Amino acid sequence: MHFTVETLQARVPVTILGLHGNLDASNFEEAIAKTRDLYNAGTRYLLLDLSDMPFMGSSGLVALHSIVLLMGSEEPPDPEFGWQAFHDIDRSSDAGPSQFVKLLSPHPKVERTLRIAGMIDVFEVHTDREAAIAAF
Amino acid sequence: MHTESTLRITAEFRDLARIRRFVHDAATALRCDPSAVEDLILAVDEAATNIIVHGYQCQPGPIEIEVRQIGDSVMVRLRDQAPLFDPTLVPPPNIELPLEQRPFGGMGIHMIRQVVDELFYCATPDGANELTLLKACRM
Repeated sequence: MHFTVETLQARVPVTILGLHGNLDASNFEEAIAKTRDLYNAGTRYLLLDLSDMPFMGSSGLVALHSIVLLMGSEEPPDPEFGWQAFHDIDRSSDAGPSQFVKLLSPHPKVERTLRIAGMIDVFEVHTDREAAIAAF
Repeated sequence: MHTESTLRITAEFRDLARIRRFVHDAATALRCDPSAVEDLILAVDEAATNIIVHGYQCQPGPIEIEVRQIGDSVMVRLRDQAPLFDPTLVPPPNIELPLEQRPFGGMGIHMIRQVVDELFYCATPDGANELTLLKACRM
């Protein structure tokens, strides 16, 4: 997997993070780390361009969940502490961070994975890049 | 006609792409329809990930994956040597909760259940875990 980053000034500054390649258990931590770097560098509104990501397993769901938390100023569990840390965490916040993260053009297979996991409604999903940027 | 194929590897996370390719090639060789092939790829990826993460605690370990035709279905059987564990006993996650209130992870077996028609687990006489997935395919 590799990433592309582009920042555009719309109503607010929007960072477009392109994920290129398959997102699975071998690399989901890279996506989290990349988002953490962007957040630490000042990104607050993130558009995830999934148009070049043909496969995503449940590890990718963990990555998306972590990205939502990061962009909502919450810290996800450190993968260094193992997967059990992800399984054990008890979320209790009422915050709705999805206003900070939107999805662009997920592949139908990826959209299906999101749907099966009950996560498709958590995100605004756009197929038009300009409309997605303007939606922040 | 190609009716059975087996992959035996010492699996690590980096082998997941190879496993997905194997399932794609083996199921396609059985003339399984593309939609069913994609479902099998997702299911096997989840099953293999669970074996590596939970069974082998993220260390390399042997996995055998067998793909064969059973009537109008494709059967995928995964065997591993990790401590015995029946993943079919894992309760389904509550995907109705708001994202902020959901536990992380735990979605793998849920994903498998959603995309295959049958799911069986047994411990083999020699002490291996054996997970069998069955998916109807238009051949």
